[in-house]
Amino acid sequence: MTLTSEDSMERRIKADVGSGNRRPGGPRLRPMWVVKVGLVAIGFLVPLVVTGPYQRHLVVNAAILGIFGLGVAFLIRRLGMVSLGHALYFGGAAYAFGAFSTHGGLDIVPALLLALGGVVAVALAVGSLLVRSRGIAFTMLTLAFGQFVFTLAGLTQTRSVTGGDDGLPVRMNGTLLGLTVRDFSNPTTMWTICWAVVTVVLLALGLIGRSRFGKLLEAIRENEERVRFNGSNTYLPVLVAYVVSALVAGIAGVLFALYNSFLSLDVLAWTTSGNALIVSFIGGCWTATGPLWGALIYTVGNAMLVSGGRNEWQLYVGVAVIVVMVFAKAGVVGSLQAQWVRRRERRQPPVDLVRTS
Amino acid sequence: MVLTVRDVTVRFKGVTALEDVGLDLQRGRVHGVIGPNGAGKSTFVDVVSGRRRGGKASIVFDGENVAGRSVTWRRRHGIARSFQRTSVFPDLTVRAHFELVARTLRDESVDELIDALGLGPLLDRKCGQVSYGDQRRVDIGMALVGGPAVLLADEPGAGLSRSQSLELARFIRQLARERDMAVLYIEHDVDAVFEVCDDITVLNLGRVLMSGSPAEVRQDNGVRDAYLGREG
Repeated sequence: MTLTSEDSMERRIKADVGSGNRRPGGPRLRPMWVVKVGLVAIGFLVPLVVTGPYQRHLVVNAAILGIFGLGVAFLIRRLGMVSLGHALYFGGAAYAFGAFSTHGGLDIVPALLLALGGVVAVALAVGSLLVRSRGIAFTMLTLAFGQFVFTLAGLTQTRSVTGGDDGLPVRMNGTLLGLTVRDFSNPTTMWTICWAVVTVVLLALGLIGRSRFGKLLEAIRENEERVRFNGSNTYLPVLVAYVVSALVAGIAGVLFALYNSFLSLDVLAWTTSGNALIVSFIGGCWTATGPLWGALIYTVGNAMLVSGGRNEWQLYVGVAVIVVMVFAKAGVVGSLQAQWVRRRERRQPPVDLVRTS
Repeated sequence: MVLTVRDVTVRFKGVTALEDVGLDLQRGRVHGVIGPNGAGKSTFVDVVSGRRRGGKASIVFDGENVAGRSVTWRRRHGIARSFQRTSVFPDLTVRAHFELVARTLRDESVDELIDALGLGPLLDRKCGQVSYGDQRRVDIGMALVGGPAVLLADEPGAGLSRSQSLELARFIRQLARERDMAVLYIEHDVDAVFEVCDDITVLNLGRVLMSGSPAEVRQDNGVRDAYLGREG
């Protein structure tokens, strides 16, 4: 027996419309891929357009903050979970890298790998406790863990490792792909590295999003109980997503340490987590590249207002967040994308006859 | 019996929602549960499916008491449930819904189920964009993936027209016969229940009022007084 509805005619129309509306993938996706590859290539040429050393410094900072934002936004986009404690992984990776290099005397590559391995281990341990909670409880617990580590790093007992309030000058040894510490402090070189990392992170997060795992995360976000009633464990996928998100934040932290060669406790503070969250919302955490644009707007805006002698920077940030939340809830990129989609739909004839009752 | 439920008792802050409720489900048969609003029908399904603990309840599935098992365990071992309120994932395509469950339960014959549900033409549509009736089909379809031994159908016809609801009820009975599956069928549409069910349990104020064949239930004076009405 086959189940049919009363409106079999409508169903046949749906079938016709459905087949017409399907996206077979190949022919329609290829131009998008060409555009994406083109944008990646253009990204490497940014230093040709942004010529001033200070401006280059700004775009490098924006890229690092943007990568951090991508990690935070991944958790929001895929699971609807807001973290206020990812500075634990950003600053933690930066300090781990700095400590392995400076105190341990390790070369850049092993120090970097150990720092990121440490981020994964800590994220697994912390995440195994945190991901049982949802909503505001999750957010507050991330804040608590983040602040715990921030306080720990400032204690007299840990001062020999972190440098305490004096900060930690990072002494790097060896090379990475032939690049030395001098190269890492050069904004032009660092931009190339950051852009390459941005590309890889975007690609990886995109692949995760399209995979079965990504769809499972989406299903958990929309109705976790239903997923369990489908026979799927929801704890482990959420934990893995949390670790992925922490790893991306950790990668941004290592880039920060490589570029600045100096770390202060600020990188572990909850305000650093807040900055990543703010750029995600300003740019649009529901889009793939939103946090990157948000970071650019945030960093450039900060520089412009501070250099103009207006030190009420946080006031302007607050106003910007309010404006975005009220007039463009999906963030700047998200709203532009939505507008573009609406305009494209208006141009197309109304062929969709599927009821949405 | 594939599933034997006994002594289900649920209390909410002193109010008794269910008191020592039990029933038996057999493969290939549809067991209806009817009763007025607040009788405890959905609470009973919650207990059997693992969503809620049922006091000292015993839920014996294929010889094992599964009362302490999680919903995930129960689903993987053959106790599936559909929901009164449609619980699909609006941003996922219809295809993705079935793929997710099919992969988890390692069911490779899901295409046949999709055809039987008449969802083939909608596979690439996001579930939030299809009609409510089609969402109901997806909801029930997800519960049928993996060929469960027991289907707990909590008001599958909710929100559908009477004819659609009846058609769905007949489809579920057909599946029960073809797949040798036991179905616990909760529905407000009494006509549909009497038409498709082999056995019926009537709940009233959290207690079993009567259990028997549709004919026995229809003629029971207690049931007529409490639920069906003298004209029923």
